[in-house]
Amino acid sequence: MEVVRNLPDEEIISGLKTGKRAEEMIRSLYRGYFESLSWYVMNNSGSRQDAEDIFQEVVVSFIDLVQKGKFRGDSSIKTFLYSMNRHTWLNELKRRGRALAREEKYERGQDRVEMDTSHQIADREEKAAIAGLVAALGDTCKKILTLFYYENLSMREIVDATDYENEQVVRNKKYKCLKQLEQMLHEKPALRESLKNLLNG
Amino acid sequence: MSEKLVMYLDGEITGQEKADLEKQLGASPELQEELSSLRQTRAAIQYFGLKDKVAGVHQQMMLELAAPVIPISRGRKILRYSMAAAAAVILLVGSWLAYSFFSLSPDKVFASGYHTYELSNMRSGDGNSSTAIEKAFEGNQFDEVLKLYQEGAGAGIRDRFLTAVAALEKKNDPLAIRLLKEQLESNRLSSKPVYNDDSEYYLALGYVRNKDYDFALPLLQKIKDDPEHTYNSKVTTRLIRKVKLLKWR
Repeated sequence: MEVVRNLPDEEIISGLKTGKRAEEMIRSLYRGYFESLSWYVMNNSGSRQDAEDIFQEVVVSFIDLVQKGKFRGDSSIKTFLYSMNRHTWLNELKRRGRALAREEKYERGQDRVEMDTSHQIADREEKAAIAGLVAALGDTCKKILTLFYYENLSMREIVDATDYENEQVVRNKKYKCLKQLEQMLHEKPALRESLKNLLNG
Repeated sequence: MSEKLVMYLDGEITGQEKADLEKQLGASPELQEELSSLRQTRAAIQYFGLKDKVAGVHQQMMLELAAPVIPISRGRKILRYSMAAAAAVILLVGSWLAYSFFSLSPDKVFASGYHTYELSNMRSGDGNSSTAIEKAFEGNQFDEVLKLYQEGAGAGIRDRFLTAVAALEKKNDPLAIRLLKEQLESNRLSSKPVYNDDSEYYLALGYVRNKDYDFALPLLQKIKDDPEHTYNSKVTTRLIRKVKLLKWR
């Protein structure tokens, strides 16, 4: 049986920043915070599925901030994630037009750290649309582009990870895929604005 | 130019070539716009990559976190509760024993068995008139009893016994022990022992308070083993156990 230990904040931040052991760090976030954060959503008009979706989104946003060096560590990861979770879920509730009476009742008396994370969380739908746009590329394009731009693999490593003959073939394919995606984005001006926000944090 | 910009985006252009391109970029809003567009495209890929990675871990973690708790069989439940109950009993008994052990004292054990001698017991069938010691004893003037005895007022067996009890009352255990031993010695030599059971019992208690446990224990055991002994019912197993505990401590 695997012995699960709680990783200290510093180790998680460092692991997420460098990208090394990123999956281990993400698992640590789930083990440490999923249950309590999902409890919040489920006790404020949310379903289990809502809780899962919100947490997944919070983790993505958190890692994005860490990797851009925008998590300053003024508060603990726990406090930060709680705040993000709350903001994300409240925004979702507002979007759904649900009454917030229960939430407001719950919020009264809560001793919480106020953090303005709202600006850090772009609209859920737009983010989903961005991811959807990339997902709409063919599998080959998705694989090459994410291996190069997200996993930071070299052309040589990508050749090893795919069936392509050599680096030049991969380079050409990558260029075509990138331009294809760029063209797709050109056709979605609203998404380009969201990406600007994403880039600027 | 587009390919050059992608290479620039990827950090594959260096040196003079890079400097030339940046010069061109500075002079061309169109090129800047194109580079901006490429950066946005890259950001979209990076966001997708991150989301995809988290989604992969998410699936694993949902399985891990939702893993059902293995139900405990009825037998194991009973065993677990029995062990918990046994542990609680052991803890309680242990605590009680520890408390009893550490709160025990010779004075407490003495007090648990001691009672002031009833003078009426002595008079029954006696017929003799009261002595000064007896009168003082009757009036609970135990200091007076001791004083009278020291002054030589008490010459009889009865006065010696009462003086011994008065000595116990005044916590003068060595005197009580000496007088009671003399009493028992006299009885041993006499064909008609008097106050023998009383003397044994009070002597045993005197030994306890004086911490002479090795003398007290055989005497108490003798009384307990003799059903005809006047004080047999007073010497319980519990009393003997307490004296043993005092001895071990």
